[in-house]
Amino acid sequence: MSNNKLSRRNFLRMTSIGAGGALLAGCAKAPEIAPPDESKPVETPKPAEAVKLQIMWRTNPDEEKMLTSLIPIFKEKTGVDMESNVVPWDEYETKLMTMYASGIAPDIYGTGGTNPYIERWVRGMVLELDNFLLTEPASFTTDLFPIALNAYKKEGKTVAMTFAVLAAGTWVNATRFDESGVEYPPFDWSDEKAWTIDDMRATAKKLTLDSDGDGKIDRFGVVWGHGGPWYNTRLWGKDLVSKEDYDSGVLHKITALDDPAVKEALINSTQARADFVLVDKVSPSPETSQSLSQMGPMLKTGAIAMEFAGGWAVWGEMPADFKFRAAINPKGGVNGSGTRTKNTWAEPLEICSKTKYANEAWKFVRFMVADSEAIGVQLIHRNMIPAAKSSFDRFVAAQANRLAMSAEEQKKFYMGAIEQADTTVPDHILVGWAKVRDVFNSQLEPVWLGEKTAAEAVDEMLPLAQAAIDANLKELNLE
Amino acid sequence: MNIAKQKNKLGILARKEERAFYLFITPWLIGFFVFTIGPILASLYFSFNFYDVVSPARWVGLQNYSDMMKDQLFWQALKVTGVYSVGSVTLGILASLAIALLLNRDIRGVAVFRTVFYLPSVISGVAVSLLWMWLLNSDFGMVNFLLWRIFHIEGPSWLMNRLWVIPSMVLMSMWSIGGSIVIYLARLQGIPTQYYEAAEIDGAGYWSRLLNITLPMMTPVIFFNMITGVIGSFQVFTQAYVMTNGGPNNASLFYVLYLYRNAFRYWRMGYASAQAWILFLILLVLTALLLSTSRRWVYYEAD
Repeated sequence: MSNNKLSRRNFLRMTSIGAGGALLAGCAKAPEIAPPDESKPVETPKPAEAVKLQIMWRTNPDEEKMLTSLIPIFKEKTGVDMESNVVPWDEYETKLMTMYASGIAPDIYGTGGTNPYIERWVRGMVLELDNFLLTEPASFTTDLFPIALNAYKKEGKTVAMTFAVLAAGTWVNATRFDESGVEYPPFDWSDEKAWTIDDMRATAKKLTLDSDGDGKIDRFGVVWGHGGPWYNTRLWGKDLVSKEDYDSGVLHKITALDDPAVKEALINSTQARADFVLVDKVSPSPETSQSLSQMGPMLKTGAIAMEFAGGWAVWGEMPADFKFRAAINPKGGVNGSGTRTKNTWAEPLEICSKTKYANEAWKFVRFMVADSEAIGVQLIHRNMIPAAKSSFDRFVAAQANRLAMSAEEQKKFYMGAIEQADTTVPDHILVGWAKVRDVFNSQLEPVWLGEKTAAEAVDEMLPLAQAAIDANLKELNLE
Repeated sequence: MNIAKQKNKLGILARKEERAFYLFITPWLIGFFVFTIGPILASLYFSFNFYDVVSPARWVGLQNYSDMMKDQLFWQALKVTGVYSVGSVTLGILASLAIALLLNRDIRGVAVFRTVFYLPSVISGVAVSLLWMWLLNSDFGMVNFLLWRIFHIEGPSWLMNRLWVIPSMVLMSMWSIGGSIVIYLARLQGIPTQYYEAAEIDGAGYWSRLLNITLPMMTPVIFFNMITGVIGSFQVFTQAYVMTNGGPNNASLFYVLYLYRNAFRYWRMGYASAQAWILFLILLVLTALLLSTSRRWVYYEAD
């Protein structure tokens, strides 16, 4: 009898073997998918089963509506079905990374949270798109704004395709300006002398208000949303990243370590931003900003009169109590000796390197970039500038009621914002930036709190940032 | 013959029961091996590799561990977590014990008080964090408002000040002591009343009874709460992630927050795995230390 009995030891042994087998199967390398032949356009054999593409996107009510509208149109035009996988912003990268490792990544990566596009390319997660571009008529690329076409070109390869761009600017609560009798800042980028950081400070002083006289400010003049050292240093006419690193997409060195002029620009711009809060008291402290933001976007609630940031400042519902305008970025440096912020936010799509449906995925990418109907849907749900130049006027028309500016004024502002931009932001295009950004943020907090000067903080910060870069390069075997 | 038949019958029943036992426990065992033991062993392997999850792992031996010893943020995270652990565990034990003693008294409405004290501990971490962000806000927060109204003290910038951010989190951890209070209460009610009666006959007062009967009888539960409290305090993540994101200037960079960043933001899963193993070793040593001291101060009735 006992011979037939399942002993505890045997049972555990069997379970362990079974579970171990399952574990090994789970951890096994996913079947290799041959990369496309780079010498000729990609031709994936038409799959026998009905194709259903997967796209991943961040949680955003407007963007979800956009996807819901786009998918049936895309299916009608191409016969390719599609499903969206919407995940919260801060879970996007984690989920994408683990899905990719498990061999179940979506075919197309849409807009996520931090969006480290080039990081994904360097780690082999995306297909290069040049072969697909070769299959397109010349008008496809000539119709794109240069920044849209070039933002994700690394080592001569197109690794992501921009479908929309977001303007950087000074966003203005025009009602607050009217109440204080202050003139609006200019919207014409071609005016070289107009609107410096000093002008912005002086205007912000007029707009800052302690309405009940209790010593606490009830309305701030400006939020310097372009807060990071990369943005600030560029305002002062220098760059923390070398041209070689922009070209390769891999961050090797913070230029301020070797170049005293860059370091000086970094220190001065950081101190200038801190002085807006601590000395001039025209901007809220980080904590006050956080509190005010919990009541709603500060520009829209009227808690601030100006926001120096990206176009998201005027996204979504516009409150009827206020009217808003856009203005050019201020020119930084002492007495306007620097430059204007010359960046944009280029929003691309990427195709998964493991997709079985590369051609179908590209069809969706080009649909988003160039299809008139698809652009129309995007314009309804997101006010980003389409990458296709031919749709620019439609964008301006769609904006008509958002800003208290004439169509001509808006055209001038938005076209200028696109044309002056020479890059998208480092989070998107530089490998290793996430860690460096965290070092910058943590090391500069004492400056915003008035505990350290910018010079002291920068001296401590730069070696730490470089150490983070070196550790990253070591792990990537790129030392 | 009858006895032999009966034995055989019982044997069949027992075997059936045994089979059922194995049948029902198998899903759990498979889950345990695949989703717990498997990842634990995998993380040990990855801790000796450079591994970003999406590319093949590259064996580097002890490199991650030696890099960690030179990593300022690793030491900062350890310091922050250690300070928080001492503060939250000590204060947590004192506060929950004191409240349990109060709730153990025979007063009207004690059931309501017990519910009220337990209630906050059922609220999820993110909701509690958002709530405390408001309470501790230096401009609009209730804490600073009351400090000013009652004591005319201008409260600090709790979450944006390097000195106050950890005390703030310790204060916030008191929000969830309801679970410990219930455990203490259960133990308090299990102390035989004869001990107190005998002590009263001998003329012992309240404090004497507390020190000589209640506390010694409570030591196993205090010990249990201490061990689980230390382990829990080293795993703090939500508060730091939601409320401060490790700031200001890494003053609330908790160990697990830094581990998470390495794993999922910096693409350093190998390094994060090494961090997880170091955390395991730290907790193992701390638990062993506490266990070794327990012989001197924990009193079990069976002793």
